[in-house]
Amino acid sequence: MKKMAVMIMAALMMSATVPALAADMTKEEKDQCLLASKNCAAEVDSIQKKIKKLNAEIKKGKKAYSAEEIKKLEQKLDEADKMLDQILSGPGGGN
Amino acid sequence: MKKKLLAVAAAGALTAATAVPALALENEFHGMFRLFGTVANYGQSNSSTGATSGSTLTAPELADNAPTRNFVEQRARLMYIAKANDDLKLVTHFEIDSRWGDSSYTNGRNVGGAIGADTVDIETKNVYLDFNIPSTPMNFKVGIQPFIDSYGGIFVNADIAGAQAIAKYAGFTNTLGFFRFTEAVGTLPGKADRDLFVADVKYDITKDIKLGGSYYLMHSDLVVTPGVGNPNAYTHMVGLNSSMKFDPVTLNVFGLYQFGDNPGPISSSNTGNAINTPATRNSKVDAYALGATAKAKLGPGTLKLAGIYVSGEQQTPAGAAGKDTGAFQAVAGESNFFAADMYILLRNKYNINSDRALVHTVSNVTGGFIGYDANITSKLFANVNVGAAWAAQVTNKGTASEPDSNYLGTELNAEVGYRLFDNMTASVLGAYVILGDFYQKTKGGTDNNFDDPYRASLMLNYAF
Repeated sequence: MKKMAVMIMAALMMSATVPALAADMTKEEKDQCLLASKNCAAEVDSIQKKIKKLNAEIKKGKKAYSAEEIKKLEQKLDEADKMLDQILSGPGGGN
Repeated sequence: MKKKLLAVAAAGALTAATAVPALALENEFHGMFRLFGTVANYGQSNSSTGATSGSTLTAPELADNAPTRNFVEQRARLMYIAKANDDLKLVTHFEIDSRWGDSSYTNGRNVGGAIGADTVDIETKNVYLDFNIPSTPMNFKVGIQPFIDSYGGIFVNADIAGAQAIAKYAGFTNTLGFFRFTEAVGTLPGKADRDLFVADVKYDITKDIKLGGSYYLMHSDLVVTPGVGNPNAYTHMVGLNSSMKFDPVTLNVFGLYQFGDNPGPISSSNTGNAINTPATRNSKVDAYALGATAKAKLGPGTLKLAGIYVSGEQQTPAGAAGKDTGAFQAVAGESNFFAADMYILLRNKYNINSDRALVHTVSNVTGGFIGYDANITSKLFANVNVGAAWAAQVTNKGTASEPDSNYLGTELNAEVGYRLFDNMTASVLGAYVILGDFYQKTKGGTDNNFDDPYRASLMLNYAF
């Protein structure tokens, strides 16, 4: 029974320690996340940043992506544009 | 031995559960905040709760010596998307609206801006599942979702409960949809309803030329008195639309014809069946809407042109018992023609709860609009718009109260803004309408002498 408990604990600890490594940082570096809300580990893209990134990737064209992949990126760009439109001026705008 | 095996199995299951990336969930948060500080001489009558809701701008909001008022409104929208993978996501979208000083310590939408705040006022706009069938071109959207017709929203642009099946293949985008607008109160669920069925086709002839066609069917069996009149009203709509790009011009044209049973005022109300029971009147509708928009890059900005004709009706009241109507039946308060970029003549996409317009629900109007959006620097922008509108038909024909003209008025509006950040802008805008004799004078000699409506606003917009 003891062995089982130890093994379960070990498995739990392994799974819990992995994300901590992502935020690894040397002592000399400034923590830009605390200082200027930049480069935070859990940072997510704003919708504008997502649109900018998608446009930049689509511009790379066939040098970097297959025709199918470009089509997929264009579809995602279309979705992001529509989402921004929904947020800013979606239906119910008057009520 | 048995215990050891069990322990190994348990540990294995735990590591497997944490290690399989396919189970990871991508959390997407988006939203916006808008603040609108306004000085105006129209709109804004307080309800008992302090909330305001959109409506057509009429007397007493149009008045001689209309009082000037100032108010500040704010709107926040929060969108959370739980994305399992590229083919499956749950979309939720919420809204919190208030006008500063409206009321507090209460439960209800569009309030909570008075001292103390503390109001339960979060609105759920959308909750729907969006998924693809892997290895097929099929996409489904199921739940309370945004839906805009293929005609710029002149019939409907709303959040509605329903389901859409969308297939994209070989240049086609085909949509089949079902939406339930409203159920009659006091009946069995699903027994008396108003529903919309949508069949929509779009075809990309080339990358720059797209053609589309639609068939919409609205069915209503909401009745006032069981056994009186036809309990089933079928209203049909067929339309064609196209989008063409000839650099530097992008042109959109559309036409929508409405026929069959008169659906009557299509509203979201389900409490007073009387307003939702056109079927009892055995009235027919024969109406249409035409529109065009054009945009072209010109100098540091974009030149815009737009025009619409949406049919109206002379008789009073339109579509009354036994009478047919030529008035286009748009969804009340849930339709718009945002391409016009008007603030007072027609609804504007940025308006919050004080949203009032001379033509609020798109019907009985002819309008022409021209505007220019300029990017003066990468941070500074400005736009100016002019539009004039006429009623397609005037009511009370041949009587003293017949309007002296079908000219509704001319609006001038302008906005100057500054992009403080990539996702935040601050702008000032003004709009003024020179009221036409549709409102001011009657054939019988009445002169209302209404003040021309105007507004000046400061707007902050943050979207993320």
